[in-house]
Amino acid sequence: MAKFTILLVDDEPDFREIMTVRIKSWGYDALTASNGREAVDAVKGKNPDIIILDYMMPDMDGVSALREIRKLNNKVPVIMFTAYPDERSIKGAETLGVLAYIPKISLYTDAQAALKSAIHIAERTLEAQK
Amino acid sequence: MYKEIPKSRDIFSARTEEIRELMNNACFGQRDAQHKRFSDFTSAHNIGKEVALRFELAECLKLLIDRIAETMSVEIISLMLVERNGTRLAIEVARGLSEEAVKNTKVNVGEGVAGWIAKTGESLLVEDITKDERFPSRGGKYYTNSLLSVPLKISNRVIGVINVNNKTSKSVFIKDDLEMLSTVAEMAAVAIENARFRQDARTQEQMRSNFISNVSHELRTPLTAIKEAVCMILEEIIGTVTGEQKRFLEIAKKNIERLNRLIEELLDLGKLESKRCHEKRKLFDVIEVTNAIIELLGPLAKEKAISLTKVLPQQKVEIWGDADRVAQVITNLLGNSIKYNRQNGTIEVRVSETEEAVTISIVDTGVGISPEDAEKIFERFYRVKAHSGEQKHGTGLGLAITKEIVHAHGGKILVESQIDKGSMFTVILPKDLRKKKE
Repeated sequence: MAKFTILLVDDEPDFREIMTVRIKSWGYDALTASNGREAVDAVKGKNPDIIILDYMMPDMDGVSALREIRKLNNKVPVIMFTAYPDERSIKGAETLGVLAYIPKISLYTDAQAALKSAIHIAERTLEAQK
Repeated sequence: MYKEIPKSRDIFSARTEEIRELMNNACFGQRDAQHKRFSDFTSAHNIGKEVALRFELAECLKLLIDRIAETMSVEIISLMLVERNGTRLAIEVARGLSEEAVKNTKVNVGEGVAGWIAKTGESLLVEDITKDERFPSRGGKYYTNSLLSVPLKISNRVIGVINVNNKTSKSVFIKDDLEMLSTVAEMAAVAIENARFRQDARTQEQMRSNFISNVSHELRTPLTAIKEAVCMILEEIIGTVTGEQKRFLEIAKKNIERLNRLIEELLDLGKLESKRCHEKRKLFDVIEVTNAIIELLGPLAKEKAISLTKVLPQQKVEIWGDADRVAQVITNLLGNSIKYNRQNGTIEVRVSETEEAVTISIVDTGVGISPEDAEKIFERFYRVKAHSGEQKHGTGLGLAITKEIVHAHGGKILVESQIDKGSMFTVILPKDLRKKKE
């Protein structure tokens, strides 16, 4: 089975570096983008299988980036990974096809475990499509 | 725009008086005049009352000029407000003027007709402005050259000016028009000021809410990276770690979590203060919520062999409020009762109701609180000094949040306690806040 490639979109370089190692430790290939524009370019050029998207980024917020991504690819599973899940943004992203919303840090859930299971769901969806 | 600043008020007053006299005598017999005045007065008050009911500033102003235009039969009307710094007037709303004129007209206080009114606080009624050499370049298309301007005043402070031109009857303005417009302006000024206060309050609320969301993001972002890095080392994803290294990393992780809890609770307090929790209110059953929490926290009590009992009414007890927030109150109180209880202690959760209120009490056999502490435990970051055993690490915000929620629901929270015997926390919530407000 070919390795799936995950595109991580986040404006924090430290977080990108840490998460790249984490994603690779789970057995996937990792790509990163530091803003919405780069994310759109990566979707165009590198065709990632799964996207993990932060939605508070300086140039283009995650919801706008997702809108652009959806114009190119309306099937790729997208997981919103965010430091501040507010209801308005969630509503904004709802119509754009989001697999899961995961808080980066939470008192109630283990964020990494939640992210890992969201990726597993995405993986199963992709395998079913094959 | 009007060019020259009218320096002398006497000229205006003299002319105004003259016109008043003339118009009064020319237009009405005494009885008719009285009748008209009465009807004008009624119209003015009706407009004032109607405007006062509008809470949105823009809506309030629009309604105001529409009603004045209709009642006085004028084609051109503009309402100007003095800007915050108090030096300039700008048109807020107008009828019969081009959009451009509305957008671009700014008048310094003291300049032109509106500026003069803003400065002096006096009204102005002019029969023919073109014959007034102090206003040589008056633009626009006017049937008549009579104009009427009155100040919007809050006690002696002018907050704006209402200008009217062009009666559709093509006659000039008279004293009755001035009186009518002055009466409307008097009432409208209060309504406008109120609408502005409300608008300011909303703007501040919005800023506060944005601030909370920014702080939240800015604090969580670095914390996330720190936690992730520590967790990854601990999980040995990037290499093996010795036992002692692990122990220190566990300490780091524990404190990151503590900091995270503190951030969440501070933000929660911020949200409560900004009253955003009010949006989620509905009727819900307190008994159902209480039972769910007892079930949830039961295992924690069991760990300390605490006997947890409940005395609840058989029927539903519905109240109007935010169910999640009320659940948070009960969870905090019951959580504390378990945390500060002794091994093999007891806790009793009691709910009772009257026609208007519901009372939730949690009675425990815990360490208790001294009378000095009891006064202060609802304050932020207040910590009861540990008089036995080890210090418990809380954030110091749990009870402050609890109190905020209870107050936001129009309720009360009380504590009775005796050191080493136990405590009783009682929350009294009105069943229907909506009724209390009226």
